[in-house]
Amino acid sequence: MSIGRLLPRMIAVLFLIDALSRFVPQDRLCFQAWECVTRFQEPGAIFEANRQFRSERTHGNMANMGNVPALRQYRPQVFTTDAYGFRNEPSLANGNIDGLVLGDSYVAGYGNSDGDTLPVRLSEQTGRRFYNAGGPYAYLATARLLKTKLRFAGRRAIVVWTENVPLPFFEDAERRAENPDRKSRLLNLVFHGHGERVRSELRGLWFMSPVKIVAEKAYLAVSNDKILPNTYAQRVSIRRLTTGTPIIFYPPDLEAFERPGEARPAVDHLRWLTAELKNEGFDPLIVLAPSKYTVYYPTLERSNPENVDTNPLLARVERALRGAGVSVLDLTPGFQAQAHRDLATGQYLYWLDDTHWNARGLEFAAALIHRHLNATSDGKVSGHDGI
Amino acid sequence: MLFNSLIFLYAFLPVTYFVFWRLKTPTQRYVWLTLASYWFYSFWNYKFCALLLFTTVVSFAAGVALLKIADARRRRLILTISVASDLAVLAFFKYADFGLGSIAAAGRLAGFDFPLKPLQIILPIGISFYTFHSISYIVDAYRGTIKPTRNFWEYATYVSLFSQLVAGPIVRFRQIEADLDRIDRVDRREHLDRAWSFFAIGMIEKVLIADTIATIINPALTRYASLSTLDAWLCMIGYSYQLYFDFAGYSDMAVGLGYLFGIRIPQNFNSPYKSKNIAEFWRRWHISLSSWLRDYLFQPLGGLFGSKWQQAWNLLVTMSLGGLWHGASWTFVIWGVYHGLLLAAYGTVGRGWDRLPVIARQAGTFLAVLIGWVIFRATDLTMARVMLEKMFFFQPGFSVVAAAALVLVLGIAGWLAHAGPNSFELKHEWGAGATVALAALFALSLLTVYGAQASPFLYFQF
Repeated sequence: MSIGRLLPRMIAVLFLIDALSRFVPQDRLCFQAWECVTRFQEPGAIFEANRQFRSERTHGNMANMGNVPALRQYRPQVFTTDAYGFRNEPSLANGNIDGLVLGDSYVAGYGNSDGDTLPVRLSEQTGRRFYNAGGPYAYLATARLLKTKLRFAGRRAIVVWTENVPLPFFEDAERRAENPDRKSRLLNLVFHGHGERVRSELRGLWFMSPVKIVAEKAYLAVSNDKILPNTYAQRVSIRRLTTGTPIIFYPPDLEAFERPGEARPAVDHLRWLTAELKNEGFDPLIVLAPSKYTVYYPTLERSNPENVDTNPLLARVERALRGAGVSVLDLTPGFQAQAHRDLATGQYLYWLDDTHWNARGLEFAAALIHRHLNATSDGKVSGHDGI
Repeated sequence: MLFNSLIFLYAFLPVTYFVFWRLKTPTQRYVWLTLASYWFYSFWNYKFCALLLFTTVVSFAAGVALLKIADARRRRLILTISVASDLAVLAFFKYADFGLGSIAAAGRLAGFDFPLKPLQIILPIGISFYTFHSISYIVDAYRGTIKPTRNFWEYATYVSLFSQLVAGPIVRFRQIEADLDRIDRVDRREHLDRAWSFFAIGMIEKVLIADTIATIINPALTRYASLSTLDAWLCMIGYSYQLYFDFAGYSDMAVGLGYLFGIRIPQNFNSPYKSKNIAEFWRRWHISLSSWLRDYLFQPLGGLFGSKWQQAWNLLVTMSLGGLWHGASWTFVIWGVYHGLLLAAYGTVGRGWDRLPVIARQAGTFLAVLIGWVIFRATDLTMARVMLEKMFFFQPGFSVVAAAALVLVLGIAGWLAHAGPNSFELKHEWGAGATVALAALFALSLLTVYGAQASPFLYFQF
């Protein structure tokens, strides 16, 4: 066969393989549940509904982003979603719910198994039934959506506000949830109100290509500083704890730590969110979650104690919110103290190869929140001084 | 959209190709190619399609006017207005911020503080190329070298043809006029093998050679201040081949794509690193640009007429502006001046140079070109100075990561560039074994496109 006939056929065959393989389950190709379960998002959520992902060998997002296989922490993972596209045991959606836990991937439990998520740990510790509403950045829209779908026995809404996620993410998400864009409106018109679902399916098919994943894995494997330089390494920051243990950070967290932003925009947004949640009948608690770098900076090799901000961003946010009468808890002091204590025993609150909390960190966060809830219900005030 | 992207290979090219061959009349095909090319361009920024259309309309109208008007004074007026319009567009979008920045810097040096702020103008991709297309068309029409077309769509096809729109070659209208005229009579199968052979070779040159080199040298060049002498030489030899195979690869892909639609795009690179002197280098490197500069700038300035000083001055002006064409930066101007001086020097002592052994002349020419690439590649004058210091004042050490792979690729690239045939010297009639080998390398390129991060062609930025 001549080259003029062979090459177009090769392209056509590769195209067909690529197109058809997109309809095949891809769980074996994902390094993390998150990759797979976010593919076909349920409208209003970010996960596929009624989905279960199981793997014996997942690892962290930073090890993947920086292509550093030597620092991967392999762990099994089970990730289950309910009928609404949130990470809960499917039966939970049918029962009476005492409260919602709203937040991003920290709440959803990125990198951890079902039994270790913050809402599950909080439910175990408080004896209440907390629903994992983590995932979408549109916290108010999510609370409103779930209010109409779930049966509530209580009205507690815990909002976990993660340090360093840019505020526009939240504002845009709320705006989009409130006013679907032109594409969504058009698709809703064409598909009789199912536009978002169709869009999600199309997006999932478009963006996730098994051929691309396999090719990327092969390319990452040769980008090992021997065959080719590992150019991906610059996407992460690898440091060492004072014990010598390597730990990977997300570079924007370092930048935010070194040049913290203004507290005012976050305070204004959280005050607005609190007021809106109260209008919806919820009893909100804002939980401020520090970044991994904020927690571990004091325990790093060659860290300069003078660089530790004596008036850090989350502390300023907490003070301003409390001054405005908002119920708030900053996890930073507790996490920093615990991280320091853990060094001696080689235990950690975050995965070393990931930006997120590990099971121990999630349990610890749940304990701090539980203690705060107990204290405030006793009329005590907790916060920086109380932990 | 890149030629080495999946959206191009899976969607744009098949749709454009199959619709094109379904259409029968020349105008239908011109309209389709024009629309497809604007679609191609809109993937970058659809708003700038208006600018492309403006340039097209102005130069087409100028061509029609030159066709009708015989009066010399009025013809000159049309030439002046239309070329000035094209140059004004280019000057504003490409050089306004550079000009303002340079004035402000000069003012600071002189002790004045001009309150000039950059306008933050977005540089429309391909503007240097389609502006030069248009200017060559108007000037050729004025000189009577071509007969301007009365078919707007034929002209729009020429200016916007996607295969040459964003990074050349700078094709003259007369070079493809015959093919455009017989666009409805060309046999689809006539050039099919040649088309895909050129395209595959270009893809391999770009993805497997140029991009692999770039992957290794770019991380090293970002920390240029810490390089050793050996590192610096490896990086700059690497960059010399990267630039060549990137742009020659792009040009070969453009030629292949042209053949797919029955249009023969001329050769842009003729093994430039085999050159035995700097003048020959410029006859072999980016031929469409160097010949454009020769015909529309150097010769109108006086060319090789006049005194030696006058000739040297003409060379210096031409090459400086040629350098500036590559980008709004003083490094490009200095690179142009450097080549202008080399050409002038060769004009003066060329006879002595030509008596040296061939290998010495080739090596010397390559070395001179390579030193030029140091300035060309530098992000600023400091980097150029530091790199040259590193190369010529010994600094011990070796820190390039994956150097073994680099040496291997440089070996292959070096052989192809200095000893191997270029794509226009090949017959493109492959036996079974060669077909399989070419197909395998093409498949590897495709998988690399899938797996690696997208890598734009270097000449897109110009």
